Amino acid sequence: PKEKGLTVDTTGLDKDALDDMEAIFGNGEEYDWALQLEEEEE
Amino acid sequence: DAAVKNPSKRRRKKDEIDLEEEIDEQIAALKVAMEKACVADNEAREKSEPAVHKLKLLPNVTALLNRTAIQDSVLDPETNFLQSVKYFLEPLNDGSLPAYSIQRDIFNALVNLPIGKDSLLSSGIGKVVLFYTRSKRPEVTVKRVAERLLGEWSRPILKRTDDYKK
Repeated sequence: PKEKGLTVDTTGLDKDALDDMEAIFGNGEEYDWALQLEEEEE
Repeated sequence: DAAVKNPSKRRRKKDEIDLEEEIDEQIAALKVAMEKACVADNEAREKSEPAVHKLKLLPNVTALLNRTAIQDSVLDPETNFLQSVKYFLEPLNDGSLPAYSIQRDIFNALVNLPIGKDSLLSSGIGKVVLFYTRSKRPEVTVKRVAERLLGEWSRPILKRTDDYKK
């Protein structure tokens, strides 16, 4: 899975922790559409 | 005597079950109302009318979130009340955020709740909280609470990998 999302130092993290993090916080793209709308407005 | 000391167990058990069912019904009803309010606010924005439906429900939502007596039901991953709370926080279709009071009151309620991994997984509320830390629109006070929630919710997961290394 793409490592976007939380900017957390993931070196040394085991796979389960990474999977949990993505399951809970998503891959960071769920609301990209809203973030893009913000950019366009500036 | 014995009768006074312990009222028949069956009777107290029945009251407890009735109470629990009543609470679950209350939560289910509020969830439906919350989801309708989210849809109504989006429709209002599309007709460039004010989005007031969520705001009207806000007192009921925060009251439930702050009722420590029924916290287990409110946080139960199956009831999944937190999923409706996530909808409340989501940006509307036009990218605008819900009213400041909705953001402030809900974030302040969340930070006082012992939200476990299962509730986070079933509700997906972590995703919208992450969005609040990345969006430029929320007030600094709201962003700070969002960042604090991210820290608290990820610590048990990140910490777990340290433990077995020690």
